[in-house]
Amino acid sequence: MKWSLSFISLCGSAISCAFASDLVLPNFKNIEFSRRIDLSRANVHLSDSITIQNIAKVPQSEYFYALDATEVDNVALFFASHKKSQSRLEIRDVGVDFETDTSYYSIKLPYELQPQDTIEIQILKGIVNCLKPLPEFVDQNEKQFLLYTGSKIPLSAYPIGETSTKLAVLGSTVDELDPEEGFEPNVSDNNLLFGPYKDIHPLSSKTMLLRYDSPIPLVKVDKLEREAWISHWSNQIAFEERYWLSNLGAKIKDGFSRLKFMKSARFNVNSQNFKDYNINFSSVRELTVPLQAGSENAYYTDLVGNVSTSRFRVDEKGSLLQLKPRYPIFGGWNYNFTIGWEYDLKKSLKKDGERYLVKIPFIEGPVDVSYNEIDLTVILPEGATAVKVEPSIVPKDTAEFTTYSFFDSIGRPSVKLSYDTIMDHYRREVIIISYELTTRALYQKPVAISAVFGAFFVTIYLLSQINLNISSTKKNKL
Amino acid sequence: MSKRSSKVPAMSTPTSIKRETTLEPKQSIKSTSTSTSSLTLCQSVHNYWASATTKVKLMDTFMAFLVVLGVLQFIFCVLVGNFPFNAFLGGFSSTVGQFVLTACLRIQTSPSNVQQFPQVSPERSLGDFIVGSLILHFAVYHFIN
Amino acid sequence: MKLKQLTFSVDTAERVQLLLRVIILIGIAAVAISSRLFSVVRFESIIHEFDPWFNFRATKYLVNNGFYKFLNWFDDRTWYPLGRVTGGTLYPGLMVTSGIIHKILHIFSLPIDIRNICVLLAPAFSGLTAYATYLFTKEMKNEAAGLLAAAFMGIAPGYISRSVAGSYDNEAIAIFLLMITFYLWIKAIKLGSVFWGATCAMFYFYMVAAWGGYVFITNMIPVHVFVLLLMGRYNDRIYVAYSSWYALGTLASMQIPFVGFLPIRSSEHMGALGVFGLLQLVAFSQFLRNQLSPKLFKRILISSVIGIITLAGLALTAMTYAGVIAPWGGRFYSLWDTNYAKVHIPIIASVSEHQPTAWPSFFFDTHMLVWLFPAGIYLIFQELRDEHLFVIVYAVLGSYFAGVMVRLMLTLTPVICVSAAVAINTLFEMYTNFTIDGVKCTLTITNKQNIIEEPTQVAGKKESETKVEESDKEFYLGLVGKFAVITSFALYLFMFVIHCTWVTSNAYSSPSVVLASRNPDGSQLLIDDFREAYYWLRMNTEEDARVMSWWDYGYQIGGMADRTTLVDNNTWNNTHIATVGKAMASSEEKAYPILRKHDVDYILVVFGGHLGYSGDDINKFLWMVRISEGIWPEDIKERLFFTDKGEYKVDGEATQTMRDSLLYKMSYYNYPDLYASINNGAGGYDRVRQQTIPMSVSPKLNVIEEAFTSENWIVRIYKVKDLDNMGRDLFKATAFDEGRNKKKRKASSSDKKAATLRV
Repeated sequence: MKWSLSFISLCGSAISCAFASDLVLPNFKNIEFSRRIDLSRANVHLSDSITIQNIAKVPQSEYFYALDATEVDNVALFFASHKKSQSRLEIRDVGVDFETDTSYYSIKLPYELQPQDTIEIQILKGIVNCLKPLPEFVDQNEKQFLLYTGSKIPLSAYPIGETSTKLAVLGSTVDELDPEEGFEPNVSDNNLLFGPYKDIHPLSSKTMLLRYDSPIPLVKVDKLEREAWISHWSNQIAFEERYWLSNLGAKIKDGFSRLKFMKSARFNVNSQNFKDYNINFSSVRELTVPLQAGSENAYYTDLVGNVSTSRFRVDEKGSLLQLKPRYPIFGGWNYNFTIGWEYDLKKSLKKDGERYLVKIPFIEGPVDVSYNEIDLTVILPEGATAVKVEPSIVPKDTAEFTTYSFFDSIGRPSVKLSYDTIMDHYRREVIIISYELTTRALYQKPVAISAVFGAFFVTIYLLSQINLNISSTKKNKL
Repeated sequence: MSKRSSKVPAMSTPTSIKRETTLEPKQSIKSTSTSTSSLTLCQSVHNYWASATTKVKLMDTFMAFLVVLGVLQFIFCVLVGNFPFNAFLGGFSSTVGQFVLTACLRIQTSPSNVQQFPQVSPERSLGDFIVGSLILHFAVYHFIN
Repeated sequence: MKLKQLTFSVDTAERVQLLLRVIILIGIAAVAISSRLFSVVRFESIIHEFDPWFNFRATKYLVNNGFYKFLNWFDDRTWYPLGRVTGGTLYPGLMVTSGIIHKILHIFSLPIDIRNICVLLAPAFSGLTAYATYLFTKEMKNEAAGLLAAAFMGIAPGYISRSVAGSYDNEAIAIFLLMITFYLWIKAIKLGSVFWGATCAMFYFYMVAAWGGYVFITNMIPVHVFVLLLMGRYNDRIYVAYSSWYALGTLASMQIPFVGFLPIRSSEHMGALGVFGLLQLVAFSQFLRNQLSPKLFKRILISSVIGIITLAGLALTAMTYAGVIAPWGGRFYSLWDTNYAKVHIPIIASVSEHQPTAWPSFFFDTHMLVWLFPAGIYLIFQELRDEHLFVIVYAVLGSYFAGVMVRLMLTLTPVICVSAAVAINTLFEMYTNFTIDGVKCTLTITNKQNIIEEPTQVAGKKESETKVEESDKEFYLGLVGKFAVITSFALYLFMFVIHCTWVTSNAYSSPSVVLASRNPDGSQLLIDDFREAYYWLRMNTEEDARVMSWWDYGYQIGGMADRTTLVDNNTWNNTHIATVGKAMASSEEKAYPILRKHDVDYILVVFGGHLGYSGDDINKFLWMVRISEGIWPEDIKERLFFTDKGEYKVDGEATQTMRDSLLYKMSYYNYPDLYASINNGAGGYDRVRQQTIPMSVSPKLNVIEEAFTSENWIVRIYKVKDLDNMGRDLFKATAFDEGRNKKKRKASSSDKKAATLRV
């Protein structure tokens, strides 16, 4: 198989035990721990680059990574890789140490690290729900300010030799609340640098409260229902997605004023100069949904019908669905909509002997959003058997059932995969479904339909015959 | 007052010929008031009696019975009150409906009316009668709950 | 031998004709359906206007909760805080129809959305209506006329106006039921069959379940019978047909909860009951006439007639006074006196479709059929069989009602189509004969028809067939004349089709929820403000938020925004509507207690001034004022909303009462400021009333605040403020806040504790 299988399951085996910390032996030292925190998007991306050294006497192959236990539920993305080979490293949940409120994850090193040897690994984390608007309510002419709460020094199970944290923001102002002397950042163009700080003890932290202005709406999909209907007859996969989304950004203080919105609506969307924006800019006025190349017949509706303000662009590289919600979605507002499109089945179908293999993208939604809950349903053609689903991301829950749709007699086998806390970053992941579908099953539907119609006409014919009979017998009787 | 009462006595009507004299109540009232013409009235009743077939008599008796039943229901309603109004209405309209349907059947089957109903044979009218009665009593049944 | 051949060929010809007829009918149905799909093609599959939104919502309730729950549905999301016994106050026929269709489709596992069923129900039934019209007209004249009538019915704008895709209203199925009931009635009266009478009663029941206009049938059929009786045309077939129809139909109609005991109580139904009784008496007297000697019969007849009339008259007056029989309804009065509603019931008069019909709309809705209509009636008069009388009675009554109320144009359209079809059919029969002995042939054709229709009368007519000798000249002259007539009529028909298509596509295919406009480059621009605002309400307010608006938008708010409303298009409680009108027409101080008392969270107003949408609330304002003045003459006075010159002004000259009224404030709040930089600060220009609202009268709000305004300002939603949490008067609180804001702006915001890292 080309695409690699499951990597992590954060909510999987939670061996929450008191001795989680006992497992973590002081075998390593982080010689250099540098972090990059990206605050220019709706969700925070942290990338750690750690040079680790084996300070034990024996070779080691397991490195423990510490996470704040209160933060674990918000981690939507967690990858580790070896910097040199760029290979992904396996992450395993070890458990929570309740004394220090720390979750430990074991990272399997690419090879056994000899004593005193060093290796450089990279950790990529995506955190959702950690940005809060401050103040929560602002006037419509004011900017949106977000508060990021983090630590100036990274949390680690091992001592750190030297660490630095670099933050990237998009807006024009950054305030540090409760600043502490000796820990001021260096400011350079669009970046803040904390550190370098030296010789940090394990599990130490230093709170960092950053308040910065941001034109980005904090779009959050509370729920996504994604359905893929595979049809061999029409030779396509029909996708339909239902979104419930909201904006977690700053709310309007005195109700929405169309006047103020119209007055400040003359901003240039593409302008990189964000000095003259206000909260109107931080509302969701357009959602961009990149689709696979070859997608067609897109539609955009909601509970009260078609939304006419959408554009669908198709070119060779891919299709782009640009949606304009019915109203600008300000902080605290919700919106709900449905989009759908069709995709050529041939492009993602492989026949492997008796079995068919279909590759479906995991998510394709709007860019730069996070998902609270995803229900991904794949509806297979009627008569498919021996269904096997291989998701590249392990679902929280899997359910199998039967869907009845257009003229179905035995129904379509369907698989539902449920996920929670997912980020836009997973767009590249795929789900592979394999099933058997005999030619007989393929022709079952037209046969069934014609049989029903045949029976219908025969019944009508018989009924007309019977009717005649009754009248004639009646005549005979009386 | 029930919807079934209209059906059950229909079986026993052939024996109760006596009622025939009180055929239509209005008629009998008039006959007492106009004593001079009572003789001719008697005569016509006799005529009718002699000419009518059993089937016609059966129907007429049934109709007379329904009229009596309807009047009784109405009197009951006036005297006692119409508390479950839909029950009274159901009972009353079932008698009226049945009367009307029987009248239709009688008219259609009457040999003197053949040219008026070119496309309705007596068999057909019986069938129609059954269909009509079924609908009627279904509606009444549903009405009373 | 020859005879055999002839019969055979006639048989084949008939088969071919049958096939052709079936094909033509299918074609007509297809045309009827597809011409109603303009709105779907141009806009989308959406429920139109106002009432359909309620029907749609009720249908969804039916589909989700089942039939019995639907019948007992108490809706607490409308008419807050009263609620509405919806299950008992609606005609369930429409909803049940689409519910059944939905169910059947689901049995065949066709997961068609209930919305699409609702949208396409009216076009589908229009196909059936065309068929029913065919059947009806066939009974009147012949198949050819039937086909013509079906075609007319399929595309006549008068009917299309109520049956385009998306206009999911009772009328959508009611016209089909009307026509089929009439057809069955004709059939019953022709054959004198209980079966047809019962079928007629069943469709009558369906009609009662579907539309309040069933009263039209309830009176049409008795009037027909009555006229027949007066003309001395009584026969036993009439007795059979009417008795079976009335006995079964009335009983069945009382099953509908909304109708209940009306058929024996309300005056509208008394005619039918009276004719029923009359018919019984007539039939009984016929029976007696056969049984008794003529002398005796006469005496009995006279005495009983006098007795019955006095008895019935006494009973009727007594019952009316005792209140057993309901007095005439208001809408009914307005049918007789067009000014009645204006004076007594402003709420009925305020609905545009209850206005008397303007003359041009007859032509607009039926085009050339309107002048063929009298011709057809004349031709029908010529024959005047029992069933023809029906058409005549229908034409008379229908014309009158259509003249009184615009929306009753709908009931007139079928009879126009039928009689126009009869006229054109007769005309074409006469003129489409180009053979040398055309006249002869025409005669034979008529005879042939007579053979089919009245086999007993053929013998006499055949002798009337005379030899006609014509010279060539006369023949050619006649040919030219015929040709001219036919060409012109073909042209008329062609124009008729063009007119129908044009009217349908331009006048009747707008959903009115979505407005269409043109971009400067000519491309279509959809103005979707209503749905924008309703959707905002649905998504961003609490589930049980109460929205106050003028009653026109009640159903839409219930259907699209799914929020509780105070009043809606059901208009069953005039006082409640007047309360809303009062709140809209009063000043903020007076309106606020009303708003609080009714737990209003949001107020929705429609304002067309920015875009030029004329159906907005300011234009309906006078009705609000009038309706509330009817209840509170001391508080609301219509006069105060007019200037001294008696003008209805919204600009600088507007009266103080006008400017203080809540509706005015909500409509124009912030509006002049929008134009601040455009026309030298003169103020906001109202495109509907063509007046300029100067900056100086720009309204200030105290007890409410703007919550949402749609893109083109059409829908504006305001939030009612809670009582001030410091116990202040809201007016003082607003003034205080304003002062503070100014101060705050002056003061620099440099006293932050935080360290600003980068500017």
